[in-house]
Amino acid sequence: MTEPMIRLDRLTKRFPRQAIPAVEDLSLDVPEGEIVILVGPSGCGKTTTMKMVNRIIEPTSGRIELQGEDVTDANPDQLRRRIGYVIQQIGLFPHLTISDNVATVPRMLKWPSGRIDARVDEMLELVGLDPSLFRDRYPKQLSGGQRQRVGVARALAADPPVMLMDEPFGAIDPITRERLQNEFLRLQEEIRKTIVFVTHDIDEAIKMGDRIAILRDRAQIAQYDTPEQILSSPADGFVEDFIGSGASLKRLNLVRARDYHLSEWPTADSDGDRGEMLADLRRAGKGALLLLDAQRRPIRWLRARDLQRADEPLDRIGLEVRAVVSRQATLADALNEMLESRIGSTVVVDGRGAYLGTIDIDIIMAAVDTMRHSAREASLAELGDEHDRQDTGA
Amino acid sequence: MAADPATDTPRPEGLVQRSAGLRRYLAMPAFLALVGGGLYLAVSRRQLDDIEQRVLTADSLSDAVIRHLELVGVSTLAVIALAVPLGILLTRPFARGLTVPVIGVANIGQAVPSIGVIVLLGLTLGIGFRYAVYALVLYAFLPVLRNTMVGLQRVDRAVIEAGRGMGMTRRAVLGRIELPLAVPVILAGIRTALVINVGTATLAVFTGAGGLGAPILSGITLSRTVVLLTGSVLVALLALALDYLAGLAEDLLRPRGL
Repeated sequence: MTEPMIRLDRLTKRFPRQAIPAVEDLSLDVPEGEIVILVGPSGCGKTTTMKMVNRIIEPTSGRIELQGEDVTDANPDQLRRRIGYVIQQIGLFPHLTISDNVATVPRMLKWPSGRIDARVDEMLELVGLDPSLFRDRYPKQLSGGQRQRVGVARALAADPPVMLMDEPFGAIDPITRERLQNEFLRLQEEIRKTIVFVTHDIDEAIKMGDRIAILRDRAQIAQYDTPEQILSSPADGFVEDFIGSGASLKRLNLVRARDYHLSEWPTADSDGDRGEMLADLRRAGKGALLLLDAQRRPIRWLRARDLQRADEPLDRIGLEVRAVVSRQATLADALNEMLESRIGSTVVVDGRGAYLGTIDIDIIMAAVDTMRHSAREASLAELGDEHDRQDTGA
Repeated sequence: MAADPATDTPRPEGLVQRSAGLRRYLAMPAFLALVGGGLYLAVSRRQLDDIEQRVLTADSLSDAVIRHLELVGVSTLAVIALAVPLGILLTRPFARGLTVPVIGVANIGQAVPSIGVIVLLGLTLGIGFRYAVYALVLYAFLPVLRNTMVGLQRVDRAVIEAGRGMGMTRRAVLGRIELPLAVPVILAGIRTALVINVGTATLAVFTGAGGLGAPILSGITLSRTVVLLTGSVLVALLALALDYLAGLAEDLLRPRGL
């Protein structure tokens, strides 16, 4: 195994005037390029643990290694310039423009100004904000979701190998949060940072994590494993309780639309003939046709009775297409959208919004079935191992 | 969510947001010119007796105004030089325990009557310009100290944490984040001190420091209402003019984006 990017070795933190340590004897390796989630009930020490990595909180005892180098006693300001830091409240500097905010760390590192300007634009584009529109704005002119993107851009500006994220999507409305999560996962595929991510939300942990450390009091690790393993074989009652009910529903968070063969839905072009559309619709045996615009973006659901109303233009009849997800969306996202759609299918689109296919309840049932089988096989295999061990021990 | 720290601290004075607009910038000078011109006309058209003529000369009045401005200017600059650094010092982490008690004392100190401070100082230390300035500094010190501390304290902790978390040194966080963000509140405190000083400096006449208190005092002792009124209106005009200028400075120095 390669050397971990971050190694926490027997870390303990005692706050003054507190009998019980916040973190006690915690050892944890964070592999390079992975998102490791620290999750647990409030007060379990997960945030304290994260803040000891960049020494916002100084450990009472224990060692911290970054890329094999012991940084427990390194200059904290120098150390932090190598670690991206994103917090829930974002903490953008309100009196500085977006570009000055993003340029904070590169300026401290004394990059030449031309390189800083180019980097700021690159970072804003990376998080999906048009530099020419946003560069000179102030934080208060941005929405919550846009601010959080700037927060991420700022943390990435000096290209640190490691990022610490403290409930980064916690204070954002659920719809925007879901979109930011998906965007961030897409981003991570490009940037491959080593990320320590704190949350109290197990669903977010399952969705975002390559690995999850479930912590209990004093940051004791209850289980440190992949989301699949944690869902299919929780280590003990605490983990089981923390995952809560509906583990199979949560497993839908583990699989993404792009991992599945999407269903084909009968589509129609906006300049098509209504008679042919009706014929297509009858042949397909579905309740509605999906009307696409010139860029193949879904616009309306057209039912037979909508098509028979000849007086109105095509883009005004039928039902609006509400349930739309990207390829990065999880099946849980797709199911959620589907339940709110009157058609019973979620449309999957690519990055430019063009139609790719649909997800219906059959795909979701099949996915649940497959996962249930593989989980059962994994636990059976484990049981078998135990039997073997007992046999040899006897 | 953490409670908004702003609700735990007293509201700083003079933080009234006003909408910018040309009319607003022109209204006050026009008003001042109107009142000043009116005063001049009223006094010059009146038949003045000997005593009034002797007190209300252009020379003696402009001397009084200049003296008054000197008292206010020197004391306010001294207050800024002393109270702002002290306020910064008292909000640093090592002094965090002192922050709240000092703000409390500053609030109480404001209730001490200014005439008491000036006369007490005159009686114990001495009289003249220097001691009048000492008294003014003492009296205007508290609003500036308090607003400096409150202004720094009200800076969002998350913003400071983000700065520290990105590797900014304490000094950089203070200079590039905390102070710029506290500027509006600190300036409001200075503006308050300035206006307080214009009023309080009239009392300096009792300890022989002159200023616009002189015509007022003569007006009272000699029972000459014209003299009394001229002095009082000049003090009021001066206070309004300085407040206006301080307001302009606040608008110019307030960081953009807030």
